[in-house]
Amino acid sequence: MRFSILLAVIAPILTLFVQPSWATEDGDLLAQRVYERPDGIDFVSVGEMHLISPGTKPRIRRMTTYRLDEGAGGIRSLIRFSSPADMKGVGLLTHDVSGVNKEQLVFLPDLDRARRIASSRKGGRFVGSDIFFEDLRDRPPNLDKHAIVKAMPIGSCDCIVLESIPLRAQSTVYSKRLSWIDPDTLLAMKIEFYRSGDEDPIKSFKVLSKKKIEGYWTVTHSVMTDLISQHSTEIRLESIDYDMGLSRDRFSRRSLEEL
Amino acid sequence: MLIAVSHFRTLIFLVTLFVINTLLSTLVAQEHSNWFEQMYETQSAAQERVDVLVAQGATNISIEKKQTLVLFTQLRIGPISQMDEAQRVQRRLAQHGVETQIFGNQHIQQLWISVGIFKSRDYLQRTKNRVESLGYKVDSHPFEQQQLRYIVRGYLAEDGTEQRQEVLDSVPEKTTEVTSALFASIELKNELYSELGRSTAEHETYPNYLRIGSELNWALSPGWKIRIGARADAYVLSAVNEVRDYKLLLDQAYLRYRGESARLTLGAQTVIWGQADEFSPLDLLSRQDIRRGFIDELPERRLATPALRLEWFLGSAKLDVLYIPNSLSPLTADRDQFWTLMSPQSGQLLGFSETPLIARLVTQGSLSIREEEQESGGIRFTQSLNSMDWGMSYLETQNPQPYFIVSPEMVQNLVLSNNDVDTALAATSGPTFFEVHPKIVATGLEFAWDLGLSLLRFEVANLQDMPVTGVDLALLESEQLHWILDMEFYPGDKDTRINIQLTGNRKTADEPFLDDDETYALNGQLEYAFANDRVRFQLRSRIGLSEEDYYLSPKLVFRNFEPHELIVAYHTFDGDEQTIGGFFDSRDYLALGWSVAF
Repeated sequence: MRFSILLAVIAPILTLFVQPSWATEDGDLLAQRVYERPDGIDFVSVGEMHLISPGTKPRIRRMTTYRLDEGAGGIRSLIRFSSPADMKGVGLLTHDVSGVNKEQLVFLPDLDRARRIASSRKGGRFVGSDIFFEDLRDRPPNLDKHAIVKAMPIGSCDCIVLESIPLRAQSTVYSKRLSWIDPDTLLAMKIEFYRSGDEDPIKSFKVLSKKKIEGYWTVTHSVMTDLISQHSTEIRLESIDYDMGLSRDRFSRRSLEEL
Repeated sequence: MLIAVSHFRTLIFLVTLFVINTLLSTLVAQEHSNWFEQMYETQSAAQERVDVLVAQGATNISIEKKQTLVLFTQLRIGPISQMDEAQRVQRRLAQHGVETQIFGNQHIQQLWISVGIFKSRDYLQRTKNRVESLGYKVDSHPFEQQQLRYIVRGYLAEDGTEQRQEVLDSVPEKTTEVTSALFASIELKNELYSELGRSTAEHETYPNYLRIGSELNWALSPGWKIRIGARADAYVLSAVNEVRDYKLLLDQAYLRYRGESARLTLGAQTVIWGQADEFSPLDLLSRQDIRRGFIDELPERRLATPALRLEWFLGSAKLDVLYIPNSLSPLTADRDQFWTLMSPQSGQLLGFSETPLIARLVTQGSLSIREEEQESGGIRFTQSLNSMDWGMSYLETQNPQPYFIVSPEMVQNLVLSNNDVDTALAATSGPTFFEVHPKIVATGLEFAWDLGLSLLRFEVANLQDMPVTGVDLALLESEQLHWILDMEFYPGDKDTRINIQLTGNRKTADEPFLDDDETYALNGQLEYAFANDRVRFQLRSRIGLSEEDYYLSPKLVFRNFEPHELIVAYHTFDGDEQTIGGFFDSRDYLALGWSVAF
């Protein structure tokens, strides 16, 4: 199941987790439905990340994201920064298959070359934000066990709270996720992220606004908050176009190198 | 004649390329069981598929070209009478991510906008719906055409996979009749860096530095791009004597064409080959700027060089050919500047022992760069396989590092005067020392392995005709082997990045020479981001393993006030006389910098 956090902006890549046979059938089914939520074969989006530290001026990263769902768990994405000036042109190309990162390349315009980087990073912060590299990944539901905990409203949404615990602790930096699922849109309206040994969540993700665009429910404004430092990252979507017919060439090393 | 490459060396290069490619392909091939056949539109797509299949264990893979009758449908808007109107529509569609081309004849006022030529009905219908939702009427024009296709055949590794034949869906293909639309996309980028320095040199010195860079990128069309960059530097050294130096340099400035499977770049450009960070043995073609020693980071230590570059993309592989009509020697600091490599005050010359004789020659003598017009160039083949990149290179270029020798005339006069420096200097009409950049030949291999949470890189280069100094102080040619093993990792999978490099250099020559015949060093870089990257700590180091040679540079970067950055850095050196650390050991340096990019 896929939760649109950066989605649109960075990619509807954030996912949830599903479904061993011993989990409750309701939890499994819900997780699977969220993962299979219609979100287009591909999309191109433009958006911003606002990195907000209490009492200081936000730092803004503007980017264009291309994403292609190849089916059978294959996800390709290309993120290109257009601001700030010192990041302009920096590109990040990733290729995931069934939740496993196969390849990750970065393009550095100052050196005019693309370089392979370690592909399995999970815990590092993406460009200084509160989003970990893992949060950008497609995470198939069968990597976690899921259970419906309770129903709890968020605003006008009668959300269902889904608990997801990894089957293999090494597969994630989180020990648990609690997700507030909107049963109508199948979007995760809120996620709390837990770390092993902590009773309280370390991060939370909240949807601030959503919209149906080209037939797909899309998160247009959201925020990820580090609950320890209170630093937060707002993700604002400016535009998104689904099902553009993007080819795999768009996600090639060559494409990454072409500004 | 692009590059003066001997046929024999070219043959050796190609044979080695073939052998390595075959070996690697064999390594990843596995058992086979099922026949399959797939058809692709482009050779690169077919090759990419082959790479994937080979990595998955498929065997006996072949690619065959075949002319095939294919049904296409063109989506187009028009006719439109005015080019301005057509371009307006094109721009609007482009704003929504729909790439189009204008074709037809402007003079008879028959212009169309091609939204694309499609083979897949799904893509066609989706694109049509999309364009119509933006308010434009789109017509469909089906037609048949003979097309070259690439058939991939072979055996899959897994059982139970049935024989398949498919044509992969594509994005809109390019039309053949195109009048290029002159939509001008211009982007500007500027940066400024200012530094106040304080040195622990014998006399208090305050080397100050200002750098301003500006860059304009102009996308003439989807295929053509112009980049014009310029850079201005100013050094002001306040010490016993005030020294000022200003330079205006052309940065990257080129015209670039991007075709279906190739990219051609003509003009001043910076080309850095190799995989390793900072000190790549194969980074021999870019012009070095060492006016500030080695304290700046790699992008600032490289200058653009006029060149012609062809990059040919072959699926997951790339062939890179570079021709430089006239290699330029590196930029070094003048003799009276802080980072000079020949210091008349201290009597030091990089690479030479600090003997009284050399000190007097350096203090009283002169230095000249032996400029030679030299064509340079190289061929580099790189390929991405499953979690691995590899490549090989062949280069003929001038040695990009400065190398100093005592001039033959001075050597002769020293011998005749029984090492009487005053007599020898008086008798020498030419320079005392030469900075030489002889033409060298390099062949190299490079690898990068993605190990999940870390990355391992290895590079090795065999360099021929490299300069060394004979026991009679004459310039000799040597063969050298430079290699680097580089590991990059993130401890605890957090925000700290560490890069450790083990480097080696081995020299051999027909005659005895004074240079160290083997040197080894451990380089390191550490980077840690605090407070969501609002403060960044960096540490660069070099430790000589075969001789005393140390460099350590901690740096703090305050990034809280974007687009401004405040930087505090310290550079400290130590080591034996002939090493870089030893040469700069009296020039530890504290820098306070401010940079802004906009």
